[in-house]
Amino acid sequence: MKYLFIDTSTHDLTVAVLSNEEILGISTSHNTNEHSKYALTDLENTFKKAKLTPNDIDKVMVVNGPGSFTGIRIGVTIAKTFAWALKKDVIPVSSLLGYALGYSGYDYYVSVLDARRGYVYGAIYNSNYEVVLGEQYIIIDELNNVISSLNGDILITGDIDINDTGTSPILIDAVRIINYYKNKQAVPAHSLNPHYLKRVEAEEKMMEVIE
Amino acid sequence: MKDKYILGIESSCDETSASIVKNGTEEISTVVLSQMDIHKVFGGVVPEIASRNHVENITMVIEETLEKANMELKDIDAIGVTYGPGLIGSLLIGLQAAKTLSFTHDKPLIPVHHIAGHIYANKLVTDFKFPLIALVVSGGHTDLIYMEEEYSFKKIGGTLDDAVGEAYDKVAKVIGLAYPGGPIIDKLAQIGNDTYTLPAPLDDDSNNFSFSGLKSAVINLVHNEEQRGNIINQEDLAKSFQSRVIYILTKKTMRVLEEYGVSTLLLAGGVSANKGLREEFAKLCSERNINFVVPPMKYCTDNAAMIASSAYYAYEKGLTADLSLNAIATTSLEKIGDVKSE
Repeated sequence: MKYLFIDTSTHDLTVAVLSNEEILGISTSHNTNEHSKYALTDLENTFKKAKLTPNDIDKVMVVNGPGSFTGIRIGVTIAKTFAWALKKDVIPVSSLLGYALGYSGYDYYVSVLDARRGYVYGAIYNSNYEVVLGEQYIIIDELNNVISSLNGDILITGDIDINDTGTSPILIDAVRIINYYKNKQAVPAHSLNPHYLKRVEAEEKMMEVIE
Repeated sequence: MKDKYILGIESSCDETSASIVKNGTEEISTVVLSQMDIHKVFGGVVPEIASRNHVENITMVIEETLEKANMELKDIDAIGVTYGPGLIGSLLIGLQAAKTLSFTHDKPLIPVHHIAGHIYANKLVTDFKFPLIALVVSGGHTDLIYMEEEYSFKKIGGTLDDAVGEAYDKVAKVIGLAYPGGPIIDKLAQIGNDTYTLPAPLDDDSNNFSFSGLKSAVINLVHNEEQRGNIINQEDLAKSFQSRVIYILTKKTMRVLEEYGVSTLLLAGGVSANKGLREEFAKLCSERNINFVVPPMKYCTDNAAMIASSAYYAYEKGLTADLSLNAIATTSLEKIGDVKSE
């Protein structure tokens, strides 16, 4: 089984081609903030390294959020276009669970992404990566309250410090992510969409007016 | 010569569109998914909402375009895509889709400047006689372009502030019309009289335009009338405003035609749907023996057929891009030759 993995949810851009658990080609460009420019060239280079053509892929896995709106749209657009054009399966991957899978050996994993104004996109998983606190747009203090109620070794990973215990950097482990997601239900390419976890501000204001 | 089929993709503002055009002139199939009704309630295009809708719809729009043409991706010769100017978040979606298809199906990728697209919308109805002058009028642009030959563009004038369509929409809002108000002003102007005193915008010897002064004059006039307790006559104000706009657009364009010794005028862009503007240009051009070309209504607003047509001629000139092609929010039409270096 051959997989294409794409993550554009953070400042780092990861593209990988795998055959089962073997990485045939991987590209991680750090902190470019130009995913729009480099995603496809990285993809092209990764296929070259792997000596595969796009049609050799069986399943596409893409991180569809939460995360930078523009970032996840780039990954999702590429994944859904790729999957639709070549009639391949596509499976959406949660950014927050994906980050948790970058680490092991803890009782709890807390994944956080800065959502500004005192908020984060956050989730908590247990040692088996099962959901303890589902993905949500949450006030940092509130998330810290949940964290302080947990007993055991806690790993916090993400792009923002939410308390004085420190936050470990985001590690993308494509092999573990694919292993975790490989038997999940694929979605039709047309209906693959970013998972924003947050409405557009203009819509929120409109809702306030209506309420 | 073998026929060339170009797939065009356009997502620069609030229309998701794909189209297949044969040899740059023959439209095979086009799908335009407009988000206008979604943005209407906000009184204008909300960029984040536009981007979200583009990503939801992009593959369906392309699929429907191929189905209507009874074609598959492998039958396409090249892919043309709008890379700018436009809303960056919106542009990115069409761009990523186009780059992905270029990669998966190993097809040449052709970068298309949105304004070149508007101009080449006219190719879908007529051949061009060079040299010519194109006046591009839309919500984002008011440009006078000189074309000496196929796919060569020289900007010889443009707006210094608001685009003409932008001024229309803002004035419409002030008079209390729904969004987008441009077409409503045009309609009201047909039955109104030019009774309000408004300034002629930037009535000088330059080839440039300025519409923010005229817009402000309308806003002030409406406020003053309201304070005096007078009711605005919407039809008359629409007519007065539109008359100033048409006066200056036609005056400067006709002068440029004479200056450059050009006998063909192309009108392009969303505002070229304006009936008052079309009629005045048609009249002036026929008086002076100028060949006047204006796209049918369906090609005036954003669509991918014009992008596919444009891409064909860009391709003929050897303009292709590699997969590092990026979207650019503001970019000059004269820079189309060095897209890669931007």
